[in-house]
Amino acid sequence: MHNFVENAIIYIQRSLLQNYQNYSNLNRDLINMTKKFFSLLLMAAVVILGVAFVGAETSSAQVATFPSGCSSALGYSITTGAPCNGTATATLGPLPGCTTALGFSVTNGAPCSGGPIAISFLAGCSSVFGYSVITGAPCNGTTVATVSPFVPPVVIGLPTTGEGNALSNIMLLLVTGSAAAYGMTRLARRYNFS
Amino acid sequence: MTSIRAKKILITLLTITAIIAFGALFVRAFYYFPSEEIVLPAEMEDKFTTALGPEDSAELAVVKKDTKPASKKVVKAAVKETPSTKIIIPAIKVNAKIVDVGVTAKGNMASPKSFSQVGWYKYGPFPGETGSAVLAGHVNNGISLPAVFSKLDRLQTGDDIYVETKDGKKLHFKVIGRKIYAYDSTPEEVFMDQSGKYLKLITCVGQIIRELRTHDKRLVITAELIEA
Repeated sequence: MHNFVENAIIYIQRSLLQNYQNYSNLNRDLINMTKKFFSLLLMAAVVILGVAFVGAETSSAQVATFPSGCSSALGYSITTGAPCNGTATATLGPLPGCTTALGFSVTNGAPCSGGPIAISFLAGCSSVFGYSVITGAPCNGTTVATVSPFVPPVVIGLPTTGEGNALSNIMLLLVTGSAAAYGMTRLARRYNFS
Repeated sequence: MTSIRAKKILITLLTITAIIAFGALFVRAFYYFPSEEIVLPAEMEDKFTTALGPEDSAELAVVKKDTKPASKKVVKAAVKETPSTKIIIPAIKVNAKIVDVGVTAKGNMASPKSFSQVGWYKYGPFPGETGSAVLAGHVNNGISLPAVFSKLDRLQTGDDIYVETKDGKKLHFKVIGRKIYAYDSTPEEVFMDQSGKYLKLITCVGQIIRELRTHDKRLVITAELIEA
């Protein structure tokens, strides 16, 4: 009887130990998976932030494209002489409700470019004023350039000669640096570079 | 197997992007300041030069590069290049390269793109000429470490400033005064004082305005030419 009780206790102990070990392994796997998931999530967040930060100034890129020698779908190509609208007959602008090839018609809302997409600025232009730095053509889409309303003042303002966002720069540097270091360490370990 | 491979590729891509983002931020913090300078058409540069007075306009006309007409392929604004190469201020251990700067779209003097260089306002007179030659430098870099003019506020009346020119001359200026202005002021005497041959050095001082990411004051040191 005594032996039977002893054997039973030993059996229960072993069962418990095995269950605990199984549980521990499962727990460890879960922790590892969670860690991996959150590290990936953190890296993705950092990357998205970084890309947003770096690309903020270039987010307004042009998408409209026209045939060679054309800055819009109006008129004729200056290189080939062919109509810029891709048909046999050229559309001569400006279109109704438009004063230039830029923007939308005020009467029917159609793009003033004559094409399917409205143009905000022509290639080589950062505004509708002056001339394109690439083609030399007027930036307003007509044959005559508009002079910028910016009149250089006789007395100008003082320059900005200090950084006022050091804290955010430091934080971004730390986060991206940590993410880069972490990623490189993981890659080095995975590919046995170390 | 496929998911492990996809994870590897994802980690590699994210790591590369993180490295690129870190590199861009590092350059921005230590080496590059967006000066927001705009390129003025030639006709507007003429307005600037006439604003300086007939004597100066004639001088500038000599140093202006040829302006290409609008019908040419590339329209390039006429600019004059600084004949000065270096500024030396022994009292605060400054020995920095001078670069040209123009104006921003807001009508302010532009600032140099580098934290270690000094910007010369190219629409004003050259250092050593009659009028106010204006030079601006940063007080700190992107992470608030000292930049070229971080110790400008320590300059005292009588301190020496030297400007080296491209032709090997060393212009000697002496500090004669200092004044602090609000960041949004347009002080006429800084740019337009024609009563002597002045050098005006500008940097940021005061408290940071968080919304505008700039300091609330500007320090202007005035120096006078004593030996050319």
